[in-house]
Amino acid sequence: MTLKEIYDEHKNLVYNVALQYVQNVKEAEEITQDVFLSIHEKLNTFKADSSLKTWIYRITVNKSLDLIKARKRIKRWGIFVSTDDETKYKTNVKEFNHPGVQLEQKEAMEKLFKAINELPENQKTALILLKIDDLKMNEAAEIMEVSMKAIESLFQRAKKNLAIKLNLNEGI
Amino acid sequence: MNSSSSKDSMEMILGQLENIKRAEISDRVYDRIVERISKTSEKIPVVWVRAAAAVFLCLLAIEILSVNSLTKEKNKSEVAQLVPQSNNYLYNE
Repeated sequence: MTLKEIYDEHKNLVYNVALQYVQNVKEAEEITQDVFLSIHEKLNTFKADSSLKTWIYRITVNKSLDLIKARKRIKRWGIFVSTDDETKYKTNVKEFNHPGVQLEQKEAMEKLFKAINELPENQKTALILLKIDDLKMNEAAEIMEVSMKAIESLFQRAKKNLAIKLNLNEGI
Repeated sequence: MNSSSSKDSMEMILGQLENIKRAEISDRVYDRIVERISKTSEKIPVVWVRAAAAVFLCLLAIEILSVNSLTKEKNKSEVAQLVPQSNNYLYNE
């Protein structure tokens, strides 16, 4: 399979997962580029232990989390970070620009994503994969390389923490 | 807020997430990927740079060791010349 074929088949999957993490078109495009560069470099080492889709999901999740970490690093150590990284990640950091969100829902979704962004990495990933990407429990577990029980627990904890952050903290 | 209503609100909020539409990626992204691939392939691979650096360090270490051992030998012989060798012969023997 050539890179172009893989790209055509999975470009929107990668782009949309990245969008759920960063909620910004420019950064999601940047992540998509990084993901396919990584696929290009590692394609010959890909073992068919998991499906290509699962492998691409994993790379996308990791690249998205890398970008978020880089963003935080710049926020904390701004003057010590190389200018390349700075220009790459500093632009539009706080700008909510999610093309999948309807205009009338933008404000509510921005608030919701702000709360989601405060969740721990693995809880956020579980929530994104199960609720937004609508994957089955076993698919999400395979992508995150955890058991079904663990993913269920992560999802429940994500819901609970989200409720706390949104002040709905009773009875969840 | 009671237990069931907060559960309902949470489900409603999560339901909003399910309504997010799939977005289409811009066509120009693939061109940028190809551009970045061609740029990275022009660069010298890191493995080769590391190998060259390792060889250079080895040569440097060998050079330092050989210079050190030569200097030691030279110093030894110089010191040996300065120290009078004692023996059991008498002057008039």
